[in-house]
Amino acid sequence: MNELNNTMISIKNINKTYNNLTALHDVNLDIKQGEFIALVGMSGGGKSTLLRLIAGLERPTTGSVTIDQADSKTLMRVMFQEDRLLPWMSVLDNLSFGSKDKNTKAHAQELLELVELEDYADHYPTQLSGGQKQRVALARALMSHPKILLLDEPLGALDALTRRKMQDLILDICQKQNLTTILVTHDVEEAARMADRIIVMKDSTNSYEEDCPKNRNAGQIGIVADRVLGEILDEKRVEIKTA
Amino acid sequence: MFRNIPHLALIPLIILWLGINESAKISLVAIGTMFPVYINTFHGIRSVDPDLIEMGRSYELTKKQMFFKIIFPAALPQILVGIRYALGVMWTTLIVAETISASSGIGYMANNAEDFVDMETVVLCIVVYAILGKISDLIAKSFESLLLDWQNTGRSNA
Repeated sequence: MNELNNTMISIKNINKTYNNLTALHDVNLDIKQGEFIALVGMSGGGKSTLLRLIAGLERPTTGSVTIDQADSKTLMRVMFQEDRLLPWMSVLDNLSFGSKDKNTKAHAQELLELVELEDYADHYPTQLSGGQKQRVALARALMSHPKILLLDEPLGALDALTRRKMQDLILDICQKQNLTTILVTHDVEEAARMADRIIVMKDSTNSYEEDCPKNRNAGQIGIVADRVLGEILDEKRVEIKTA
Repeated sequence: MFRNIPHLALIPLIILWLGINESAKISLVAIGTMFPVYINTFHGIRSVDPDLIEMGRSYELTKKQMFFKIIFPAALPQILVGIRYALGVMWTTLIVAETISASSGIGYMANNAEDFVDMETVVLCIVVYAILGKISDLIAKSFESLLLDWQNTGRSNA
């Protein structure tokens, strides 16, 4: 696992309101470099809003998001639930989109090999399946060598098998490239499987945190998921002793 | 409100302002074709998927990049619909303009032939209009298939 030392993202006293409706209330969170964070919670809990604030797609009403890098704009990429590929561009052109890299095509080809879509470079997005499109979206997010990857329910629309494959692919890439990753998901088990730390967003704030064990097995994933789910649903916590 | 006025209703006004000449014909065609192109372009731009705009924002695109990389290509199918429709309007307008407010042209020739009961010339004029209409439609269609070839791709390999 990666060394988790420096704070990469620092969120201080964030509040966000939309026409008197509170989306986020007094959120404080530090995310370390190389850490994989999962934001879970019920719909309307504020997890996507928090991600959008970190991505700079929205501004907080009060409070601040600090990225610990001088050039924070190029080192952060978002992958959304919808693939958001440009339908008039080929897969290769979609990857090159927005890239300032001189060796764009070669790098795009490398990334297509990484997501096992090297034979689809000339295809249009309409010729790909949902899982393939999300893999292209992942490759596009990695094009500009980001240090931070923001994932807004990217696997939400995929079937169970494709979802599992994508989870493994994302985990592998994030670990190899030492990416600081924030995953917004409704799937608590997915969060328990992938994240170093799970943040429960409830009542517009981060109400609970759970550190996940390293090299976890299926049983530990289940226990963490149950505990997090209990927190989300306000169930009484049952202590389960693990070996 | 201006676009609700049938542009052919402006013929008397155009004749009074510009006389019976080429500029009158061109003005009428311009007015007639402007609104289909404008409305379809406007609608095309308004209908651009906001998710794509947001994606562009997350990539920090400049306004120029946003227009040329996202907005214009996304609106292009609707713009081309407007252009193709406008081509039809263009021929209709031209025929009427040449019949009423011109001293030359195919419409004028057809009208003149009608006065002399010259049926062959009238039919020839109709055939010439049909050929010109077909050619312009084919050009518009080839533009569509050239610029929008991605729309014809299906899920053949997924």
